[in-house]
Amino acid sequence: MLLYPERGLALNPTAASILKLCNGELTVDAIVEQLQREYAERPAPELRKDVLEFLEELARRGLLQVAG
Amino acid sequence: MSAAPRPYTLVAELTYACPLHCAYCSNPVDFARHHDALDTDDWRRVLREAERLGVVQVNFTGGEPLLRPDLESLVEQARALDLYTNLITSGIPLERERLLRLRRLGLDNVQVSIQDARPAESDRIAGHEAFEHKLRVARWVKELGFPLTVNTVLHRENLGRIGEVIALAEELHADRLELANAQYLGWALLNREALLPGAAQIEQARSVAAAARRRLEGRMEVVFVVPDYHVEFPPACMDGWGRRFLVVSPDGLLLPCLLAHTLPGLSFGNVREQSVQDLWVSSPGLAAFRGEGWMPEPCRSCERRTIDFGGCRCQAFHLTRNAAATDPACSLSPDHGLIEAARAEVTRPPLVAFSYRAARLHSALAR
Repeated sequence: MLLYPERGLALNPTAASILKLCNGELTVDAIVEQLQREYAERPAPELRKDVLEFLEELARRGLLQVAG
Repeated sequence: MSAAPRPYTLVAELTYACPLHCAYCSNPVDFARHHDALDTDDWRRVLREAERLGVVQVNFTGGEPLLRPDLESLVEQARALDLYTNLITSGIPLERERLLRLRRLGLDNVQVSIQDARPAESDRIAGHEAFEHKLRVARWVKELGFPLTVNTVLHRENLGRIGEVIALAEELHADRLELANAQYLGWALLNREALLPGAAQIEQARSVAAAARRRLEGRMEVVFVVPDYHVEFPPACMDGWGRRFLVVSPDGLLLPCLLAHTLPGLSFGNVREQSVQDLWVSSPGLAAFRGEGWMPEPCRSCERRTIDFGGCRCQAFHLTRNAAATDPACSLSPDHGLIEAARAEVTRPPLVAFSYRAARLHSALAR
């Protein structure tokens, strides 16, 4: 569960795995690469699309900042 | 009786005392009759028991929670339980040193109320000279690295200045702005004639808020809450009765919402006598409106019953004298005429000034 001011988001297992990798150091490509080990059955382009969609949604909600 | 669901949020109303006198205060009109009965150890135990029940967030609120000198101890306990902690405050009285102390103890988020974008208007509705200090507090909140939520309660006097409120929140670098129309319960119901806006005013403000939401996406979350009097269907009050929120009042009652103890005939146990877990599962007051068994028509056969849970029980009672009625805010309610009549009166300028929240027993108590 991702907790933030006065709210929370119940994350599915994939979302939780993605979020755990958002440590300010890994790039999106590196995150996809790591996830590929956990979700070997998913084609890489599909996984990449899921990761980007989720990260964009978090950024829209102001829950994710681009490091740099 | 339905099985008790898992609550996520504890609303800890530490005291009803407050230096402000806002005319729309969400505390009960007879707040002065409820004394602060829980000591530090009681509240620390409430936090532990709520966490065991599944709670992950706690809102320290009131009244003004800063008036409790043991707030630090409670934040420390909540932190030790890994709860996400929110302080819901007027910012009065607060100095930077105390905020820093709370930060170090693990407080996660601060919500500061600002009544209006203009000092004189803000202080007038609060009945207290507070505006300048609130801005100072909001700046300290950001300086100390907290996320900042600004909350402004909207009503007919300040809705037209919503653009200024948004600009002020931006200037303060708020992460979240709650533009919450007053809900007409408690003190706001008492002052409804002076506060309730018209539909055109709401629409205008809603479009300003929507434009700001798009413009500020990713930087500041802008939330606009419409008053129940101007919706077709009521919102899910508290996400459903006794479902996701548990409220503990200053006198120790375990409640499903801020005003449930104003409903006659319901008994809510006290956390001084029973554990939070026991009360959550077996309190007759919580069981009364949990699930769908209590619902009358048109709720019972309505497809929205799992979305809005029949609306607000307090609104149903305070308008119809029947807490088990469909919320009159719903356009399908047989009592919806009560809402329409209140709306119809808005076109006239208010004939009454509002009554400040004050400790005297008001004649409205006897209504």
